[in-house]
Amino acid sequence: MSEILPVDLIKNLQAHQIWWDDSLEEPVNIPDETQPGGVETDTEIKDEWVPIKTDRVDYRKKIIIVDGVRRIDAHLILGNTGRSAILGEFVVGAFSLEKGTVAKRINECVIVLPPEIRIKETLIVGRAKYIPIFANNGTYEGLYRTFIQRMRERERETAYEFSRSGYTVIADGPLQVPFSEVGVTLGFVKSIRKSYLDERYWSVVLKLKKGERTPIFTIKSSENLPPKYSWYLRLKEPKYFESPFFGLVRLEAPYTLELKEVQELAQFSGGFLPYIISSSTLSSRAPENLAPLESLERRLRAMFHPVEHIRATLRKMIAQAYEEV
Amino acid sequence: MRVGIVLGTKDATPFEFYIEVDSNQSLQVDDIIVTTSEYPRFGRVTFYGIVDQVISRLEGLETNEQARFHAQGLFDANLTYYCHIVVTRTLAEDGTSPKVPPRPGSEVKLADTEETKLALYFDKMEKKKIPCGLLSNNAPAYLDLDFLLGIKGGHVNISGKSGVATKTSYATFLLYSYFSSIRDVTEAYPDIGSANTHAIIFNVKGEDLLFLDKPNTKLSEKDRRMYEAMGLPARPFENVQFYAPPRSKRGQYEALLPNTESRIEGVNIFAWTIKEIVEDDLLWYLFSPKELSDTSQLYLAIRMATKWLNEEIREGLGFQSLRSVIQTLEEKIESIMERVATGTRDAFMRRLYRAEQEIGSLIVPEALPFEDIKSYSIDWRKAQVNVVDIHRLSDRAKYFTVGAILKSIVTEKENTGTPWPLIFIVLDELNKYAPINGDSPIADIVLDIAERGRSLGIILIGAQQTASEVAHRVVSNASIRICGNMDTSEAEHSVYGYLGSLNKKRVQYLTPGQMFVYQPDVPQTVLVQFPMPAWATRYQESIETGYIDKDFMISEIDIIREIEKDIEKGSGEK
Repeated sequence: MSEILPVDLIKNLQAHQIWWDDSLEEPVNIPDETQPGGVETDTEIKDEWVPIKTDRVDYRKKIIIVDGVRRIDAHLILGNTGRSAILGEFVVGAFSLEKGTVAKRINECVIVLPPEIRIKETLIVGRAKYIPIFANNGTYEGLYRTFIQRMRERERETAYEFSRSGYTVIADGPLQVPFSEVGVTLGFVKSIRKSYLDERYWSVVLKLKKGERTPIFTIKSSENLPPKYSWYLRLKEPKYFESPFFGLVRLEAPYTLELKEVQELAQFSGGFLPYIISSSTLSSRAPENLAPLESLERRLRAMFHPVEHIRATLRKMIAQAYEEV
Repeated sequence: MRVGIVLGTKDATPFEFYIEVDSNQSLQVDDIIVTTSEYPRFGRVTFYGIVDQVISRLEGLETNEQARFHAQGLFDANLTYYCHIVVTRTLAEDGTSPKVPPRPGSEVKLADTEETKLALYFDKMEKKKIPCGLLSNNAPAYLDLDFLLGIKGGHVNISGKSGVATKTSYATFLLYSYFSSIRDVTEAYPDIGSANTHAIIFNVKGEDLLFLDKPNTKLSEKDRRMYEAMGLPARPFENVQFYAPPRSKRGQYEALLPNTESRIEGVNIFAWTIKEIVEDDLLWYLFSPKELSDTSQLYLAIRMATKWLNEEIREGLGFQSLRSVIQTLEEKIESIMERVATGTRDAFMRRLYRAEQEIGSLIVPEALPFEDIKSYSIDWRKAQVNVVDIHRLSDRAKYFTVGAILKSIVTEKENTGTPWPLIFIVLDELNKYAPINGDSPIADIVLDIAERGRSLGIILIGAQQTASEVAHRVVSNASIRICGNMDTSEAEHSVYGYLGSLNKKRVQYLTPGQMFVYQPDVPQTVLVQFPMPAWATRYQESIETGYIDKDFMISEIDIIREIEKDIEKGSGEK
């Protein structure tokens, strides 16, 4: 990208302080789901809701599960202005249920900069090459949201790529815009954080048995985003001591699809997703975290550059940069 | 052919390392591989090795549950297939053997025939070698003659379960390989080659060895190809003499017939006269090792009896049978065994009676002047291979026969003062003749051969089911050790240390025709496969060639009938 030496780039950025959170947990909580602008419950059934049974199908078909994992490698303070940048890394990949293996893995390192700072150069730290991207908002939350969006974008691209090759794609998390470029992709939402429905509908949702789903409803978005189809699906029934939300997931399908097509997808999802769930010993997020998702995430995390090495190199580079001044 | 790479996740050393097999390849235990690495100081170093373990597992999984999910296609894992290699040889370009490890990541190939020779040091043996079977890659394996013929070492010891006669078959095969390669042997060892080598095979089971000189008409094409691969012809032995004990006499009929079932034609009789027994000091062998160890005084009694018999014979007195010896002895026992306690005398006589019952038929009257046959002793110099059939004899008679024959060979060799011509002795059931505990005249002679045989030109090809029950000195003196199918519990004994821990577990899976072969200059024991005999082991196998006329098949009953008829005729004439 550029001839500039990494140490000089550090100097140019006046990056003279770094910190990191050793827990590697996400520094701020950024909700994936957008604010709903309203829900239409009569998309599939006009009358009173009843659980819809699905028939079990073989999952060894052209199905792809797409997911990404991310990590903040370091946090840079730029000059004396209080502006900051983050160095982050994410790996996006796909698991093929047809082959039972990870089908794709891509790794990307980015340096997220506040809008006022414009550089073209890639920051090379050891073997990691951090591509510069720019946040709309220089706050820490703004930088972080840009980082996640970049990963979601890569996930959507991966999903679209497989979808165009004739795969049915299950993407972890809510569907990403633009829907015109997601193809036949189902968003797989594990955590039920928002209540899209009235209480009378919830009584149906919470009583779903394994493999049963709710009728399809439509979520209208408030933020000038297109609407999307959605339904709840029970992966596993809770035991008497477990919450009724246990084993419950919500799926999303793009509004670009025909309702009939979505109905087929909803039946299909109920036919195999409950049979590929993980166990509590396999994943701390069982059963909602599917076994292939757990496998995929492990393989994706294995692609991260060794963080200790990156940080040691970065520390050395900063020291060198200021030694020369 | 490339098969994989040297693994870097496990230690590679100059003596062992691991290789990861390419996904489109496979390796099995016993495969021979070769790899090279560049080293400063040594240049290009080639490593030769044998696969002794292959392992497959899923990598990246922590629990069995994950492996189960993997089987269901829901969990990704890396299927790895790797092998443990025992390095047999490292070779730099200048011919030295630097002790350095192969570099991880180096390409590994299957060894071709030439590389196999280098891997197992067959190149170092030059012409001093004979084929001893085929390796897993169908390349021939060789025995180093320096360690077979007594140059640097000698003797062969074969262990394994009996039942399929694999031990004797292999011993016979080795003899065949030796005699078929005699031209090379002569070139390499002019001393040995110029005087004909001989062999005595004691046949202890069935009559398998009575057809060594007849081709095996049932030999399969596969076996023929095995002979061909080793550069050996698939033919019977050429120069064989058969010996069998005489049949117990019935009536007054004087003719001696060999006590064999399936073959009579060309089978000689072995037997001793009392004179021979006395002159060769063989009286000891009439007593079983157990009897001798039970009563220590018996030694004295035997010595006195021998002394007396010697005097009698010197004075011209002849004994025609053991019975007549016993009768005379009984009459004169007071004077002959003055110094021997009465109990011991009785014990001696009791045992002599029993010996007479079991061994009596092996003792023949001295030949009359007009008879053709002067002696029924074994003249091993007359043929290349001498088969001595003892399988029908009682244990006591076997001890006597083996002891007497071995003793006469040793005495003869001592007297000639030269180890040439070489003689091989194939003796199974060593645990009987030289057991781990207890000594006896027969054990002494076997031990003597094991320890001094090399200098006398006597090479013992000994065999036993369990080497742990054979006198250590007999086994430890054998340079070449061979092991066929046996129980793993037996293989745990230290005497099988040469097998290595992994091969010890494999012995129980060996099939007939498979043998582990160890020889001093090859650091790793190798598994070889040897072909079915090219000679017949049953009458049926030889019958279709016309070598044996069907008329020669005389069953025991037929013979008895013949004899009875003759007797009747004789008495009728009177």
